[in-house]
Amino acid sequence: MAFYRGSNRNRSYNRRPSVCQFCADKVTQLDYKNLDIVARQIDPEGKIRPRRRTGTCARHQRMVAIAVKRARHMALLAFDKGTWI
Amino acid sequence: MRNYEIAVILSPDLDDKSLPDMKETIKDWISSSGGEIVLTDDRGQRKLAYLIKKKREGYYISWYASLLPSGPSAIEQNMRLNENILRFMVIKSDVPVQVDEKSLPVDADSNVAEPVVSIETSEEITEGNEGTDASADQSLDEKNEGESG
Repeated sequence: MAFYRGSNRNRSYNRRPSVCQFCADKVTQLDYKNLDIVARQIDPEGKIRPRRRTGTCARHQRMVAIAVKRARHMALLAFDKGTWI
Repeated sequence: MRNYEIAVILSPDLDDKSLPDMKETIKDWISSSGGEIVLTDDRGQRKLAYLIKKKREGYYISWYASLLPSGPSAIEQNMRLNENILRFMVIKSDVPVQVDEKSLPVDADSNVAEPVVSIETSEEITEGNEGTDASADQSLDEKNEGESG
């Protein structure tokens, strides 16, 4: 375990963006078929990326969650892409 | 009357004759339940993200329509009984606004994530080459050796 200690110590911290990207673009509705946007809101495992990483505001995160779930239902996104390393 | 989107994945096995027929029957279901179709969004055949009824592909099509409140349940009941419909979804939705590609949100997080990887890899290199180590790294290595030993 001592082998990993050095890399953990120097790991840089990802600051989240201070402004919601959807607010900056004044998004009022998010279509689940718009995969350019919706597919970017999931991580490599297929999970919805949390607000603490994306900086999305509460209102737009709700829209993101609904859009991702609809896209999963219509087989546009996978429910589970498996573990990613 | 309320605005809905009726989205459907049709079976890829439908041939050139039965595919238009299938579309017409769904349109009939919409109009017979008192709906008016505003816009048709035909996306064609596309690969599915996972298997549905052992099919790898599906024909995506959705209609934007204004329906009576009793409309969606009647349409869903018809769709559930048809075997050529792999998946369907009736949702409250206005006709989507066309978004310019330039105004798409830029993913700042993924841009930040790349340097982290490069830091980790560069560190592995410095651990291997002891001669070129910076003084700070050397002190780290000495600590690690002392703790492990």
